[in-house]
Amino acid sequence: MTSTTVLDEDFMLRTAYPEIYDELCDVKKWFKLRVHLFTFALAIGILYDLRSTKKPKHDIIRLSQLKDKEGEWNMNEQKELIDLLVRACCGGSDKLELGAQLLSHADGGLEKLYREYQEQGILDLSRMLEEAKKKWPKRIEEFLSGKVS
Amino acid sequence: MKIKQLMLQNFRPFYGRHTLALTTTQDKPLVLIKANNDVGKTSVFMAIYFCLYGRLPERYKGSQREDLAKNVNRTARVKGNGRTFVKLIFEHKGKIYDITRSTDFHKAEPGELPEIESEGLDVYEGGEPQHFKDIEEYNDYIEAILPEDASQFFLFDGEDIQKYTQHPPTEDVRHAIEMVLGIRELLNAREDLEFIEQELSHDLNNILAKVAQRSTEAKAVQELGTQIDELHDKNKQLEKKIEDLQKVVTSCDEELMKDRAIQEKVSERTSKEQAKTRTRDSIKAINEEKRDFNRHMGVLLANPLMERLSEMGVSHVPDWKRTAISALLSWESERCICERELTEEIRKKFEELLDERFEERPTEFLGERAVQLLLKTEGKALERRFYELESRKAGLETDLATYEDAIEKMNKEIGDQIDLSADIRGKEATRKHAAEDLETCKRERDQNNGIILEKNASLERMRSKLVDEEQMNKDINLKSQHLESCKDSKSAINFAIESLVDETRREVQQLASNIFVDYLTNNPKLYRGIEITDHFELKIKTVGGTILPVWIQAPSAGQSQVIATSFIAALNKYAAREAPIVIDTPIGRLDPLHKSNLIKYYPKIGTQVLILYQPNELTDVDLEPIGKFVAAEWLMSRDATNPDATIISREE
Repeated sequence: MTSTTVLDEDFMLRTAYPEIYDELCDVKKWFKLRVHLFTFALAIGILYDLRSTKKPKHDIIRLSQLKDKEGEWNMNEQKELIDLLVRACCGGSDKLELGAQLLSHADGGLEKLYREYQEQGILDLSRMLEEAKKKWPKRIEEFLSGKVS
Repeated sequence: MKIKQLMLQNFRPFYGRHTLALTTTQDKPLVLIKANNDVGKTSVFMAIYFCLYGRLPERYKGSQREDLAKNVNRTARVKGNGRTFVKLIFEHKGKIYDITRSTDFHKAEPGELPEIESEGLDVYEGGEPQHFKDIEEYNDYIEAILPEDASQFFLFDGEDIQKYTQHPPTEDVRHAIEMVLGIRELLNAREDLEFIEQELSHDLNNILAKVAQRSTEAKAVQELGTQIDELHDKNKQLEKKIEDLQKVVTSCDEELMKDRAIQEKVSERTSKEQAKTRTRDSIKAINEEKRDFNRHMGVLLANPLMERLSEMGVSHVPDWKRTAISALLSWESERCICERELTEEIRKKFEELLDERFEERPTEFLGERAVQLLLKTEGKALERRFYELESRKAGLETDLATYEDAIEKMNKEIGDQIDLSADIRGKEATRKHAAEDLETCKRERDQNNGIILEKNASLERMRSKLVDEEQMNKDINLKSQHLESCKDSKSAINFAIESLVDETRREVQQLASNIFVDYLTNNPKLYRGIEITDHFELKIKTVGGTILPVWIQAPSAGQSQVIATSFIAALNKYAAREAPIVIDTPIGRLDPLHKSNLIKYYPKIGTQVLILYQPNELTDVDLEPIGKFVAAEWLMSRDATNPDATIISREE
């Protein structure tokens, strides 16, 4: 099923940290595709309201390429999650601005992930999930109040 | 031997006890016993013979000769139980001999023979009783005094002696002659020596055969001993081999015990390492699974947000409608699917509808999108799946740590030991072969020990049977010496026999010729003498020069009797033994001249002569010439009151 997104279809997902993507996806093989790490990092960045100051220059994938196909059936799921997070958590109506916020949150979350990884030697997803469960209620209310307002 | 007394009790015609004193002297050598026929002359003759030899003379053939019951007087046997006996007292070589033969009988019916209860023999020599272990010993005893075979020339019937002139002497007669002349002893001695020589030769040959056999047996003993020694040597080698093999087995057992203990730990470590590898593989697989699952991590992390948004309600424009609008807007056709023209105004209206939806009602819009996404992603199920994977991974990592700890502990214990199963199999094979060889060696050793025991027993038996070689050589020397002595003795005896036989024969021949020609024949002008051959055949030599055997010459019966009497008289002169001459029926059918010649010769015929005659043979006139030579004269007559009893009386 296709749906319209707040960003243009040819929007390119980018990062300022290709080496972290290389290490966590290719070396550590914790994620099959870079977009999987991207959405996870984006959710972290939005949850903790983290924004990277680094300029994302390295392409990951274009939004239009996130389509379900054999073996990668949930690519559309990634696209819809990105759209939902942008709509729910990013302010403004300018697509470029929204896109910039999107990439900034994603790299912000990535920085936190990588920092913890470097500190602990592992990526403790369980703990992250547990902390997220605690963190989300307050964060959601912030979003909703902003949206409603 | 000279008879002194004959005592008879219930013997044949003599009922009751009767004693005849028969002592003679050198001057009066004759005893005359006169009786009519069938009164008891011959019974006296029989009594003497029976007392000496336990039976009657050979001429009384058949059962009568030894049937004791017939010796019992007819009157005595019907009277009741009783005893019959004959007692002979004689002098021999200066000693008095007293021989009594008795028979105890049971009463018999008239005309029946009595049943004999027992018989007895009592012998005294010089007043001392003699004891014999059996009859053979007694026979040897009496043979030394007067041999039974020789008695035919001392105790004889005058008419019966013609037999010596009627045919060549039989073997028995020749033996009797030789015995009388003392030649028989030498011949017997020679026969004994020949027998001894044969025995000695036989013994010597036996010993020599035993020597040969002993040599074979000694060789067998030696071979057996060698076999036993070889078995002992073999067993020593086996014992050494058994010892070595036992060491191998023990060594293998010790090494195997150690190796197996190590191998057990090595196997356990291998097992743990395999489990560790499997666990690692499982962790790798679960990591792969987690990696695959991690594409949902963004959704999962944002799940609380989506759930909260989904509670905010949904848009008035269903998503399908908005999708359709979006499709129409992106469609290049100028008409809608309902054929209405998609004007610029309609298009703008559609776009505004879409834009206004998010701007005007953002929460409903987000809520609807969140619901859609939640429906698609099944957030709760994802969460369960996430924790399940985490749990599985944590369990596997715990297992892995456990295995690694165990492996590390074992590494400390057994170091870098590798799999020893090949070594163990090799050592087990070595042990198996050694154990099999060990059992084979033990079995062989035990079998050898059994064989050694048997062979030792055989060896002992053979050794115990093995005759002493030294003793054997002594026996050979002794037997050889005896044999030589025997041969020497035999040569000496042969020489003595040749000399004695020839000399004695010639002397007897001369004396018999003299007696015949000078005293007895009634025709001394016709006969020149008697010739006695080497085999004691009697030949008559006539004046005419003929020399013919008597039985070929065939003289008259009277002539034959005097020839035989001459021969017997000559034999008695040269007899080696002194013995009485008892003549039954002395005259027989001799003509008066022969009778006269013979009567005159009786005093010279022996040192004691008992003449048993009937009144018609010798009259008082006939006896007149020898009256001075008569020591005693007995008359036997039938009891007038008992026809079965003879009375004996001495005539003065």
